[in-house]
Amino acid sequence: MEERLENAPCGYLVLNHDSYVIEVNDTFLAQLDFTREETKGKHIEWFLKPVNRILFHSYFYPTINLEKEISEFFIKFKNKNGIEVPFLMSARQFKENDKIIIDCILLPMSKRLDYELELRNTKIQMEQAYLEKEAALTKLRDIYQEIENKQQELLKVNEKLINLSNTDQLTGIPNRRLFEMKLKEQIVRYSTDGKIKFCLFMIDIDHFKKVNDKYGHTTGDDVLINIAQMIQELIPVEGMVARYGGEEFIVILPYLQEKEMLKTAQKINQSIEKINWVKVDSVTVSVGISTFEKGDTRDSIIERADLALYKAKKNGRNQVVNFSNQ
Amino acid sequence: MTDIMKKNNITILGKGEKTLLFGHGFGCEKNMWRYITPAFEKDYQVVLFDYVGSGGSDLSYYDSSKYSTLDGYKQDVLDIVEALNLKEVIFVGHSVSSMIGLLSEIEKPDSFKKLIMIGPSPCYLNTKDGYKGGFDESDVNDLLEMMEMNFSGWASYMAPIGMHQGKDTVQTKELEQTFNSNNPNMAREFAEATFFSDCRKKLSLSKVPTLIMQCSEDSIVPLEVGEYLNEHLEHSIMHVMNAKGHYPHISNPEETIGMIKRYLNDGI
Repeated sequence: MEERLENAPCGYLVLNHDSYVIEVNDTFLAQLDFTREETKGKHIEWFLKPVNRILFHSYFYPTINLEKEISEFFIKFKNKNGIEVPFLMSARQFKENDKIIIDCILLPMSKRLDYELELRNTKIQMEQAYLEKEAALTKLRDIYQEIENKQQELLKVNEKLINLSNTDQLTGIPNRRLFEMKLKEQIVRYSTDGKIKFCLFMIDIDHFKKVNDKYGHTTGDDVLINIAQMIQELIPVEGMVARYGGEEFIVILPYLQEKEMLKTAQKINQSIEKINWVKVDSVTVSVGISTFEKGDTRDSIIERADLALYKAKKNGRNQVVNFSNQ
Repeated sequence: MTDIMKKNNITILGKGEKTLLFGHGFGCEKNMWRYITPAFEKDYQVVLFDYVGSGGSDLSYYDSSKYSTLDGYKQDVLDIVEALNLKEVIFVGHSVSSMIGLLSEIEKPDSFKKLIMIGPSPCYLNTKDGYKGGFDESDVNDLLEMMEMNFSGWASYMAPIGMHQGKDTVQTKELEQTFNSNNPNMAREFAEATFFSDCRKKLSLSKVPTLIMQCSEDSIVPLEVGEYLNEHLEHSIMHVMNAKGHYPHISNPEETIGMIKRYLNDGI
């Protein structure tokens, strides 16, 4: 071997097709502390611990045979003391006089390996951090979703509560609380606008106590429910009927012409009278009407409706009385 | 069908009636068989493929949980047999593929006629019960680390990319790779599936005639392992080859071809 190749700045190793060592240079011997005699005729495996044997057989051997060339293969060789020295190995396969020979060069990579390991550890840490971040994000998303769900639940519960607090439990129509709110709202609108008038029907079931006494409270409740529904069906959608007291209902309606207003009230009065009750003979109602006028208050309009109702009762019940006509 | 052709990078050669299905080993691909297959194309239909995660397979099918044990690779074989409607398959497996072939045959015995195992091992680890597979667990861990250092692309495979496998970039990088397994994560998982596998309890379930081709001085699979296998397979015969190492189909193709042919023709 030429002297310069003997002392080339890399180890030089020649293998035959069966991976036996044919030639080595001085640099290779120095890298591993061997004498030329010691390496003579040795199989490549002689330099390798089991793991590196697998690596050699799994990657180096098939690749050099199929591709005829291999570069930057990372492998560890045992030195004389059995300590593994890391190398980058590149190799090329040649045919010489019909025999296959493989030229290999070996560059020690102890320093480079430290860098690589450092890089690799950093990479592992980054991966770990990334996974942790992902996990934290997923958890956050779950928590957010949970809050969202709870919020939706709360909204539903809230809605239910509002409905409950505004509804008369027996008849299912608005209760007095909601009526008072609506009345207040109408008064405010009237006072800002001055034109949006409205009226009230105070409706009381005639001799309701007798119904209860004669047929029992369950039947009495049934009557209340049916009458409440009937009134609700008969008033315009803009209006509202509420249960005002025991057997008393109140209707609040946007202003209608007097004729229309009376017609609606009489329809209520007559329709109820015509109901075919299963258990009860006949039920009638008396209706008192009042219209909100300038200077009116919540109390004054209620009071006038009450007075009109009183009048209707006094006149023999089962009739409609409009306060303004009194 | 076209799907599986792409998924497992299948090549079908030859025009015989009987089918030879070749399964590559760990760290390899179907290309490994190139010195062997021409000798069989005249008399056999030769089917070559890459396991998902290896060679030119479609990496988008890769699923870590599936391919972390040999069962995932077995499913590849069974899927190919079914999709191509292969009957009486003679399965030639190198290294770990021998056991993958065995597991496939156990699951669908009617589809397989013979198994030919090149450098097989039912268990690579030395175990507490005294079995000497050749490797300690620490050796395997060292190997995994060495492998990782040998994949030029490892540094660029960050977890997020590794977790969403099958990106185009993975495919395009293939050509630049020195080694066949182009994705360090997949290669590592194949290595783990291979070296931590233990098929010893399955051996008695095999029903078909089997040829064990054991290399002399195989540094991965000791001779004793071949003998163990031959003892525990009911219908096997074993031949020790002149070939050394672990790749007789590359180092000694003629001897390999001759041995397979003799077994197929004469059963010896």
